[in-house]
Amino acid sequence: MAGTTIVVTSGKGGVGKTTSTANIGTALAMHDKKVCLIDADIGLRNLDVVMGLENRIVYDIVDVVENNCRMEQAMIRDKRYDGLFLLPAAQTRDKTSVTPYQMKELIEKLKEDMDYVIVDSPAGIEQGFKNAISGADRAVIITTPEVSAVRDADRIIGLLEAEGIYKPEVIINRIRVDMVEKGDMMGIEDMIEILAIELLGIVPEDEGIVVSTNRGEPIALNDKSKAGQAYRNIARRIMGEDLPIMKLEKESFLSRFKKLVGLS
Amino acid sequence: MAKERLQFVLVQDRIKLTSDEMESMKEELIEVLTKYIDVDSSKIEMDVKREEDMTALVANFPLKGSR
Repeated sequence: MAGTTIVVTSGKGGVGKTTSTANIGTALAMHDKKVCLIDADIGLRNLDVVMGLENRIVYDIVDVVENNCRMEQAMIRDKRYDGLFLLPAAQTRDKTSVTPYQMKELIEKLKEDMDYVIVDSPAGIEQGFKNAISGADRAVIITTPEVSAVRDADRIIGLLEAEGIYKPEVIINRIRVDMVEKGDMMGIEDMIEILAIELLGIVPEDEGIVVSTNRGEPIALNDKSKAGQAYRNIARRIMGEDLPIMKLEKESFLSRFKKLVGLS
Repeated sequence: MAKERLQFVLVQDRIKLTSDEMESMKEELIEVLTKYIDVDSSKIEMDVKREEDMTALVANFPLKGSR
C-alpha cells in the first residue's frame, strides 16, 4: 500500500501536538483509511491517554526497535475504528533509546501496510524531534496565535527545510474570534504571511478539548463541536480535498440574547 | 503590537544576528551608500522575508528629497 508519513511538530510545548495527532488520525480513520499513530515522545508519552488506550499497552516502540517483540504485538488497535492503531512510546526510557535511522526503518516497514502513519513529535529541537521527523514525507506544524509559539514554528520550518522536508503546512490552534476582533490576538492572515507557509486549518479554542482529553475520546468524534469539525475538515484536506477554511464568527449580541432567554 | 514584536524576533532568528550586530550592519551599509547617494537614514527599513525557495534580506533605503 505504501502510505504517507506525516510528522506533527511545533517546537514549543503545549500548543496541541498530541491532541491534533489523535484527532487527525481519528478523522482519517472515519474515512476508512488505515492509520497508525506513533508516539515519538519517549519518556513523556501521552497519546495513549488522549486516545483512551492507556490500559492496553503491553509493548512499546523501544521494544520493537530492540526486537523484544514484533511490530504487530506493540500496535494497539483503537476501540472505535478497526483501521486505527497506536504505537506507544516507552515511558521509562529516554529519547536516546531510538536513533533517527531506526525510526526511519520502522516507519518504512509500517507504512507498507498503512494509508497514513502520523508521528507525534515531542516539543523541542533535540534528538526526540530529530527522531520524529526522520521518516516523514510531510510535516504539519501546530502553532497558537502567540508570539512565542509562532516564533518557534518559524524555527521549525527552517530546521525541516535543512532536513529536506519542504513545504510544511500549519495548523493554527486555539483561535478566539472575540479576541482577534478586539485586536488582542494576531490574525490568521498575519501569521500566514509572516511564516510564508500553507495553511492546513484553523481550530477554535474549545472547552470540549479538556473534557475529551480527560475521557480519552478525541473531539473529532463529537458532531456538535466546532473543534471536532475543524479536525474533520483538516483530515479531508490531508486526503487532498480542496475545502475552504472554516469561517469563525463571533456570536452576535442578538444570538447570545436569544440563547439566554431560551429562544434558540 | 504582537505582529510587530513577532516580526522583530523573526528578523533576528532568521538572519542569526543580534540586534547590536544588525544595528552595526545597518550603520556600515549607510556609510557605504552615502559615499555615492543621498540616503535618508531616518527612514530605512530592513526585514528578513521567507520566499518560496529562499530567505532574503529586504532593505529599503529611501533617497533624501525624493518622493
